[in-house]
Amino acid sequence: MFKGFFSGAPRSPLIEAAFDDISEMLRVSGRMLDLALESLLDNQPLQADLDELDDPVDEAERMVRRSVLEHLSFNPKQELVASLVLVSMVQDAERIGDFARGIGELVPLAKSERQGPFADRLRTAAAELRPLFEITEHAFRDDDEKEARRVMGRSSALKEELQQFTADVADSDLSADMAVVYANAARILRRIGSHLSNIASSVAQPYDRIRHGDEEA
Amino acid sequence: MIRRRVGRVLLLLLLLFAFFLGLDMMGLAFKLFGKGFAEGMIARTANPFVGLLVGILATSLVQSSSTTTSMTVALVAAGGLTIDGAIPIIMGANIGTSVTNTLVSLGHLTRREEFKRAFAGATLHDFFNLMTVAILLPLELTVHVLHRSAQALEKVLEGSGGIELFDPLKAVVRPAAKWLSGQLGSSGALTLIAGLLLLFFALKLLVDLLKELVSSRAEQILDRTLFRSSLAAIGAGTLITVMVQSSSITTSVMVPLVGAGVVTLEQLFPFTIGANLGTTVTALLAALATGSPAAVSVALSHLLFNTMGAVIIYPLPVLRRVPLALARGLGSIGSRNRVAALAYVATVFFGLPILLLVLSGGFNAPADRPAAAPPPAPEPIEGPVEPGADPAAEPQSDPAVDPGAGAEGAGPPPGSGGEAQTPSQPLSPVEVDDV
Repeated sequence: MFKGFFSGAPRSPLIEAAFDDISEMLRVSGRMLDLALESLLDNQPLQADLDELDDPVDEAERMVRRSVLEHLSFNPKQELVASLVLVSMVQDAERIGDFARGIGELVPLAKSERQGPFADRLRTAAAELRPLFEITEHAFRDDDEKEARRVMGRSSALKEELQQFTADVADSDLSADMAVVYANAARILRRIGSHLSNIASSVAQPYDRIRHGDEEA
Repeated sequence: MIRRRVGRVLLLLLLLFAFFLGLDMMGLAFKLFGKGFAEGMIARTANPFVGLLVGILATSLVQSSSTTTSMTVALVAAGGLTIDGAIPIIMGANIGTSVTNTLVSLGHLTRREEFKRAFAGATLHDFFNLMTVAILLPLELTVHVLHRSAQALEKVLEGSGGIELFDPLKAVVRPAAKWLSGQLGSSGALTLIAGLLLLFFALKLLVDLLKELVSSRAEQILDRTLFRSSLAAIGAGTLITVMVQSSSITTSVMVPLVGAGVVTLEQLFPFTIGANLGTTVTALLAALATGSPAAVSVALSHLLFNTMGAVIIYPLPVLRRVPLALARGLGSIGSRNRVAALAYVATVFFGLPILLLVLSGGFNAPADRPAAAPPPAPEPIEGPVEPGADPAAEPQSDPAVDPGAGAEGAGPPPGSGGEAQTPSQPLSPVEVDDV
């Protein structure tokens, strides 16, 4: 227990734990998104209760906030910026879980199976979005600015694609229920990308410019 | 990295040495001042209420109960204080130490609800300590509950050789103290000032260094234990305070957490009790370093005071609710009227002790105070002696300044069989040949 007392550890254990919690939040949210998309785009029944899966994400958010506050109470000077960044990051990570759950909530609104070009375009967008979870995690864990910028760039491109997708849905002759489902699904994927971009911006941008360039998320 | 670690450990050892050196120099200074000065000090603190107020005020001013308690045990070891005179000072130090977290809570003044919680959290410590004093001071004055228990414990410690634990340290510290005092012309005043400064700054730097060294581990302990159970919180409070050697730091750290609503008053309470227990370690170390049984008794009375307070108040819901309710009430008042919060701090920790000290004549020289009752049983004591004087040739007792004379309840515990360190007892002086 006393090992490490005098080690001059480079990072506070609580801050380290907070980073772990955010990583776990991203992993759980990623799994939730997979399950929700499988149900929405592959017309499968939902394989898990997304609300239940989201509970540990919400709990992790509380843990991160508490850990940061406990750390700052003890060591206000040590890792101050990292602490503030964590509080910002955790907000984005928690929202991603909520949005993944939101995709699952769209499934009952669709009165027919999701097939055709709009479903295919959404599948492509989801396939582009999904790897960003791992890249974002890697970027903030390893403080990798290059990877962080990659996430921000891809997220920005995805945003444009999905805005166009929504416009195309509006111009289409889809039934009202399918138009609502596709437009909302596109909006949710776009928002998830923006939140991942926000997390990445905490690595790539100066503190006062975190979330800069994407006010929507 | 390794060089940095070695440097920090060396600095830690150096600061510990400076702390013990400061203690020893204070003892040396009292011997240089001579018997009259020591007896004057004893007479001054013979009134337990004066001792209590001195303890509150001194600790509030230096914001460190460890400094006050360490100085107190050093004075007892040097013969400048009796155990009965020291115990109220220790109690006062316990009250005074809570000024720091109360001041920290004022940093939340700008946000009403946050301040309400933070101020309540800070004053919970005040109310718990005040309540402990309210229960134990009358018991001490009437049946000497702390004095007797501490002496019994000290005998056990003495029997097991615990008192001699620090003898090798004394062998190193004593020559250094004598040399430094010699450099100051063997002046009692200069030696005392140097000793006080060394003690104060060594302790301050020691606390800063320890905080830096162990804070990562300490915050982890806090995170893992605080929300588990009351016993775990007491353990965490004790352990973290021992690690940083300052209950002020431990309790102050909690204020933002309480202010943010992350920690409730109920969760904070046992942690505060732990901090009170942990802070007794500094005085114990200081007392063991002096090797004086009387000083060890005083340090043990500090531990017993906090232990008894916890055992009496915390397990009983009726009593436990009192400090919680008072703290909540004061937090509520303070958040509505912020001037009242400031007035509370100024009054309880500074204004009231100063006023009462003035009224009780605590600032007067002993001769200016009302005539004391005749001493119960003047017997020869081994008090501090003038440098170079032959202690055997000098009468060691002076009824006019007998420390027990002017204080109600400050005499030896009835039936103590002369075990108590009172005028009828040796004052556990530091070795005469040291001066």
